[in-house]
Amino acid sequence: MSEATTPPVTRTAPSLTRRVLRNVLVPLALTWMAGAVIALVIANYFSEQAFDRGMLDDAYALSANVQAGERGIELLLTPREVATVLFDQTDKVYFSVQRLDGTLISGRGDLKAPLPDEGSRYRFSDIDYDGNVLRAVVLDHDAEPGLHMPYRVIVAQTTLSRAALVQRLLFYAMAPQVLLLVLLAVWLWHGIRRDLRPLGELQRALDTRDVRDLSPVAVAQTSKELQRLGDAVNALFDRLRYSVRAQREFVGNVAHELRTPLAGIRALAEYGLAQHDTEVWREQLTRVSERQARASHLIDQLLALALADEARTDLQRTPVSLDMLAEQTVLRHLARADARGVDLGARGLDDGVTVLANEALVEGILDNLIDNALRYGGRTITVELAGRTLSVIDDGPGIPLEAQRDLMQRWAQGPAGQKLGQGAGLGLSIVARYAELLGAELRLDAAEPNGLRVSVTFGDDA
Amino acid sequence: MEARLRALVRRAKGTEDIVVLGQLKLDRKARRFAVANAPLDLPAREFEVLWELMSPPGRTVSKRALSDKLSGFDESLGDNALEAFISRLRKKLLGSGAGIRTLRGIGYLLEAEV
Repeated sequence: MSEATTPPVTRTAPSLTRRVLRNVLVPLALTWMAGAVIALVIANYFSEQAFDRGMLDDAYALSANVQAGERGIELLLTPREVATVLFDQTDKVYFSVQRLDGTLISGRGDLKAPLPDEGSRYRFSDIDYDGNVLRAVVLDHDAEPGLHMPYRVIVAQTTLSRAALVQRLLFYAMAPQVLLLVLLAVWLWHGIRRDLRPLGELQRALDTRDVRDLSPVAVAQTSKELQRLGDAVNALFDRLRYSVRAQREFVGNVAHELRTPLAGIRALAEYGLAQHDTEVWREQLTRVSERQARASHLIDQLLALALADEARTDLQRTPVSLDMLAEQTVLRHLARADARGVDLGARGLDDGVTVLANEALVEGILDNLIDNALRYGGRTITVELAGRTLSVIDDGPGIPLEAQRDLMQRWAQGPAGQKLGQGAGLGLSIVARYAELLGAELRLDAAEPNGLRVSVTFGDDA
Repeated sequence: MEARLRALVRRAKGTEDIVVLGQLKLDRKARRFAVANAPLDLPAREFEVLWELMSPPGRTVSKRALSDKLSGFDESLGDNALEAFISRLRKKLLGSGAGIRTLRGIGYLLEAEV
């Protein structure tokens, strides 16, 4: 018997809830943030334009008050009036009216800013002045009727109100989004946990289940995936129940089968003990020996089945010469066939056929089939090798189609076996199991004109 | 002791000097068969085949081996021809206490016969 293997140590896998949340919320947050940033940039652009336009209007307002005077061009506003025109609640405003060569007419003489391009009347720019970063506009005026020379107006302003606006935009745009994101996260969390709760319930139900309890498990039908999982688990329980029942039946049948020869042995022994005739003793002992042989044979077959189950996991395949194996098997059964007056022979052994298989299992298949044929078959048995197919053919009563599958699937005795009162249908189920282990195909067919042909065909990979 | 072991090995390999089955006797050294001490004369091919079947008695000789022995270079004896050959040989062994048994699909062997 194989040792119980310790289950491999696994790291606990990450939580499904957390992973789903992460996979949903992170891209969502990133997308929303990106959208907010884009909106912000656009809003910022247009508000900049508005501010600039306001500043340009101030420059024009100043220009309206520039006229020709006694000393040439002069600004006809008092400093107080200028202050009124240029008043701003938050920012500091500077101005300068200059001749084109840079000489001052009014305002700050050192206020300088990049000049408009060829063909433009005004230009906006950012400059450093008086220790601050200012937004400036330069407005050029050509010589006009009444004004004999061109001049320039420069207006510059700190950007405090602009910055404040951007900050307010940022806050009013982002804050609701963050809030919505948090609400969404909470809602998703609850939703996912609610949907996954049946999984936890299923797990707990399976954890606390008794090992003998194979009844179906109740699974809440909240989602298709859970439904499928529940169906798969319950289908497994179904198969287990069926298998357990089959095994119990098997054990019951075995016990029944063993009871018969053992009871017979006891009856023979008791009868013999009551007699005093040595001839009677001899006869009883002979029959006891026969019964024992039958019981022993049965036990051998059961052991063979158990072995087949164990071999399932690590079957070694080696090259097996089917023709040589068939010949050896026929020779081995010859004496027994002679004793029953059965003609045991072969066909097709001239060609050497080698397949990858297990010698003990192939021998077991042939032994069981020939054994069956000797019990139930007629007067002729032939072991035939054709290509990769090994067959045992007899000319006995054969097996009706309905009974064939029964004999292979469940361990059962057909009415023929019961009538003969010997052997067991166990042989065919062993053959079926061996064939399955070897990856070979087992077939039952009617032989012409009467009888049974059992064939085992080895696959191409063998 | 060594001689006895050698004799045992010879017997197992079927290469004993004298081989007996029923009334049939083979003297390997003299290369001669006898039935109830009367010499049994056989044509070359039948001699060869009976020699194989007696080495040792009860050994299964496959159809292929026999066919190879009996045929020419490029043709091998068919089943029917082989069976005919064996039955001729069988007739000559009647009453010798040794008979050739046909193993259908496999070959032939020599066994004691009443």
